[in-house]
Amino acid sequence: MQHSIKDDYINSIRNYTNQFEDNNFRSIACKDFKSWPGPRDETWRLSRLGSLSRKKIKPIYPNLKKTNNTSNLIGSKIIHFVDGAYRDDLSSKLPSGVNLSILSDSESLKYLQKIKKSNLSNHPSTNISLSCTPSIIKLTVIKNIKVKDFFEIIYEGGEDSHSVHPVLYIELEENSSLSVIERFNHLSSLVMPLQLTELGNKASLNSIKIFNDNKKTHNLSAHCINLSEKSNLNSFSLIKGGVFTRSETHAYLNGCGAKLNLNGIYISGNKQHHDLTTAIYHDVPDCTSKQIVRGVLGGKSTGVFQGKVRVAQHAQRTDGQQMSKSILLSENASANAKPELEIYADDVICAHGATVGELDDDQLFYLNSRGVPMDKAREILIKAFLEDMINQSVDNSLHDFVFKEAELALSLIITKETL
Amino acid sequence: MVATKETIDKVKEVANSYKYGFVTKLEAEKAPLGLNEEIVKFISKKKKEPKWLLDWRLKAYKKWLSMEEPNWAMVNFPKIDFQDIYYYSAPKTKPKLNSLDEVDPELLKTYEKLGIPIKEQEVLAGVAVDYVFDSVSVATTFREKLADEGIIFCPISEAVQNYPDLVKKYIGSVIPIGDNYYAALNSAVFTDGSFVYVPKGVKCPMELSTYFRINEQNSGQFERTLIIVEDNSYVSYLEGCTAPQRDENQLHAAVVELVAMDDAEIKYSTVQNWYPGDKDGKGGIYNFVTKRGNCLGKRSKISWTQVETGSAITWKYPSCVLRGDNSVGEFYSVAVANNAQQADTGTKMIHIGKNTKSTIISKGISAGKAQNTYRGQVQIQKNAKGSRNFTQCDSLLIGDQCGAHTVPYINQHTPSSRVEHEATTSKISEDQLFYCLQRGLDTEQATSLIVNGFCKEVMKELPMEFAVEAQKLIGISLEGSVG
Repeated sequence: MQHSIKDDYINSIRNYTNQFEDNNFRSIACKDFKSWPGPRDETWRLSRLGSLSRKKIKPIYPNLKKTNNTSNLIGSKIIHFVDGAYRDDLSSKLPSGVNLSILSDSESLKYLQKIKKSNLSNHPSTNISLSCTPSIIKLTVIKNIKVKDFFEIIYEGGEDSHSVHPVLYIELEENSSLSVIERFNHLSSLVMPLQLTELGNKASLNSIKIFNDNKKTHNLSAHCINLSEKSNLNSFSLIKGGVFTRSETHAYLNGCGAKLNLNGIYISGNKQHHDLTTAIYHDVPDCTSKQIVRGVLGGKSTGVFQGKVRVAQHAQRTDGQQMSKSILLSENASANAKPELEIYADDVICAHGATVGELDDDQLFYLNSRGVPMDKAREILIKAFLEDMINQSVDNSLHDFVFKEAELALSLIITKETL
Repeated sequence: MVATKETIDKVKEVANSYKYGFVTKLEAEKAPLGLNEEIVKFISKKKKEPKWLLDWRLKAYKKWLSMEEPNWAMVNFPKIDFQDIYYYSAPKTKPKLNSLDEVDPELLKTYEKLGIPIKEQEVLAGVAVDYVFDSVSVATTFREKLADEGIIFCPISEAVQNYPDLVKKYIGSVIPIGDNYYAALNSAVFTDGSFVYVPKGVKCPMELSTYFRINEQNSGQFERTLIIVEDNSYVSYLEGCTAPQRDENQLHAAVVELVAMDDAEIKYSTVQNWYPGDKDGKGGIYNFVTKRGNCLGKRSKISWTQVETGSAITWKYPSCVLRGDNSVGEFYSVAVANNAQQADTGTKMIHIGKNTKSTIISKGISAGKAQNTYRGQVQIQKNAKGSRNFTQCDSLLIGDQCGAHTVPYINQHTPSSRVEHEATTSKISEDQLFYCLQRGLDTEQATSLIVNGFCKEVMKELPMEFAVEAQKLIGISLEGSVG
């Protein structure tokens, strides 16, 4: 039986969690789900779930016989999720110093408590995915281990009218390092990935996320990040798939000297709705956060960037910078930005900038006057607009792959009319 | 509420920092406490209003009952008891005044204390003033001279009697009665305010000015200002506000509507210095104001300049609706919050017409335990091709107990338009401070100097006499915040 998302969907999840004890993490999460965010919720005002509520969806039961569809990147260590469930048979053997485990019920409860401490506690993906995920997968890099191979986490599977719930926990112990690329290629109607990333002292993580789900998919990703002393996270997201993709990240800088780069690109066409929502919390002194966001919008698409930087009272000497730029290529596209500063400390340097517009006339003229035809000139400038940023945020070895993914998305929205 | 000995002493103690904190002993005529349909009818009857206006008020009152108080602003205050407020309070004076000589001398003293140019000074200053005391407009000067030019400048209650067609046509046209909670409340119970009408092709020869004063205890001030400027005309309008020092919070919920036709220009300047409450946040005015200008005509221009130093809580977003092609909207703001003040202020620029332009310059200064928020929206609608917006909001923090927040909303729907937003937050630079100290200034003077430099871009938009006052005000507001 299928359910419309508003009531029946939640009821079916409640029925499922009823079989567990009251103090099981699934029961707690399910009880905490109050309602879907509406247009009156400030952070969901620009990204409304109306179209989702008219769909009939039910949570998927993972089919462990399905095989993989995504071609892997050469040289990477694969971790494979199909229908939201970890698949040992499709994943690579792990190098020493890296552990992968399935959390027990008591560990899962601790996981839930950690997420609940963050501002993601009421995110629908938190409560629904924790209620009905197949299991919580934890990836640990042991102290002092610098992992050379890069890891590729592939999320795929799912079916129309179903929802998928992968839940991941990445922990980097003290002084370790890791590079991860995550690729979302789901076919389901709804995807609700939940992730907690914890970086120990001096740990360093390079993270790339590529959201490339099916064109009918709603992806409501929720990611909570905790950074300890002198840890370093370099994160980049490319949003290009789905009919509605919202990547919400909350990063807590809890240790002095932590550094965070939280960059992102969205490339949207047709009737796509792409939303990059981030919140960075400077809770201790001497931390740095930098954020660059770029958007290219064609067709009837909508782009949203919401970036909040909060500096607590004692987080002196904070450096927080944020820049977002969007380009509209079509008459029917629209871009929304809400860069937000909330500052309670006085010795800080915080700035944000946001622009929305079209390509620079002077630059176009420059190329044009040197014999480059107008449509070609526009294409060059749009690509340069993105490549400049990919160069800054992505490691050399993955640069070509990421740029090609971006180019592919661009080719779909750069049509004769938009040029 | 009776003030205890202790609180009276406390008020006296801090009286020096707010020079407008005196109370004028005037007999006032008040409506019964609280709000219901009868009060709305009472106010309307008192004003001898036509039936259409009473109906309009009652509609607003019904709307208000169905609305909820907005809670999205970054301000905290105990829930307001709307039944514990006097919605009508008027100084008991002679029914009709022929000249200022007939004004109650107590009242004249008040204006002297306020430093408002009155009588002879007025001629020198060349400013036409409308005084609004509690709920009632007391006197308007220079009316005849303005009338020669065809300009109407009078209390809105008089305009309702004398120019009902104009009022009926424009009131609520920019801010509909159900626009927001406080606008709906104002529409139901507004008592007075200024009305300005500038006919075609007239440049108003002098600055028009209104001084608002809340005097009575437990009374709210709900004034309504309506300014209409026809084709090719210009007006500059100044607004000043003060209130006595009282322990309890008083409510000020005003509505200001501006309409600019083809090639018209309106310059609206405010120096808001309502009583901000004492150091611990006791007392002070709740300033919940809806201000909006409609650039209806082609090439029209509306410019808001505000210096906000007072009020316990400020909730104010002067906006421009840029409907006419090539119209221009501007917003220049300095918001100073010290001690326990909370300010959530900013603007909205709604671009509807083609080639419309808007500029937003906002300077926020927080000191003590104050919270200062800039909240602004720039919306470029689908047909607003070739439009342009530039926004700059800078915040300055003095001390580590205060907060400065920036919440801009950008909604862009047109590829040929451009929106730019910049914001910075920092403290007073040690280098600048050191430079001043080295040259013999004390910390307080140095801070005041640096802050005034920080605000310069906005100050230069103010008319001369206002700019001087505003500069002094900022210095006074920040007293005690350093060292």
